[in-house]
Amino acid sequence: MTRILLVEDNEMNRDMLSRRLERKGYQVTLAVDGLSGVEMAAAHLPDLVLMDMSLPVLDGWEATRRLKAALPTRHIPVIALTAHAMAGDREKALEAGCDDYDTKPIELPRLLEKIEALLGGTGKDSP
Amino acid sequence: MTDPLPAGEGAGRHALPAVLLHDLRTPLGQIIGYAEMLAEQAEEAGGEGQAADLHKIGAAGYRILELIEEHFHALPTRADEPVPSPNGRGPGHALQRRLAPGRAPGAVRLADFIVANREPILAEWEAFARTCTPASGAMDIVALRDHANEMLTVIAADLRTPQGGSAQSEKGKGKAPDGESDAPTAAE
Repeated sequence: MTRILLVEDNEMNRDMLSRRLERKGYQVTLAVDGLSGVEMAAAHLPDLVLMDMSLPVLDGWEATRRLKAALPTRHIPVIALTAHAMAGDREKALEAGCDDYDTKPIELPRLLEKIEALLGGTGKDSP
Repeated sequence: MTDPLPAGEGAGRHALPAVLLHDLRTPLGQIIGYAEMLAEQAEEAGGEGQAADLHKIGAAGYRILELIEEHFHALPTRADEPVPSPNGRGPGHALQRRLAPGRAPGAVRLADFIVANREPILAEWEAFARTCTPASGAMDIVALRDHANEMLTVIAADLRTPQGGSAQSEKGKGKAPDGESDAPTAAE
């Protein structure tokens, strides 16, 4: 089963997205801020990380930079999630090391396509 | 809110602080997301009529989102240009230009503003540290950013905490609050 780490500080967003992903067959673990996201990624080595960008303690950009700078976690695909949808957000996320980018509100079919596209090269069964 | 933009990109749209747009989109996303999830569950359970109604809620949410996109745009609050060297006008000058060039950021709670603009504040702070504090050359810039990030978190939390007049007065003198406060007043 594909394991996804969802790093999201908003409780309702976390609950909603994790439940929708679990309904699609993914195993979802949760982190509520950027620092705990980095720590959980290192500890559990998920197949993919969904990273909100506006996070407390450590924001999503810096958390992604740390994931991509650390040897054990640099291979884990990271999809940035943001509600800002402002010009430059995508480039900024990619510069931080994110492998893809999606905007809130989440359109689940679109997000699932991006997840599967990134997991396609890992050889893992999906979900 | 500002007057609508003239001809060109975003013509006719009003400017709102980015944090307000973010705060509008977030609950909308939740309405849409939960409605879609419940609709899926209803469909699986054979409740076609209920699913159709839930899809209508989701569609209405998307329509509100479209209206927001059509009529509003965010005041620029992002660092999308190289950080210039401080020019003697103080480190806040370049930051202010990047956050809201030529206009006020609007009525936003300071704590929310700090949280929403954490990245550009840290970028400006880092640029200032690199260019204006010689000692920073020997320091780990990641550790410095972490420290500044933690300070911003503490400041935002402090701003959100109602405090009495005496506590604010003591803080103004550089003294830490003792945890007790008299009649709370707005901290921001």
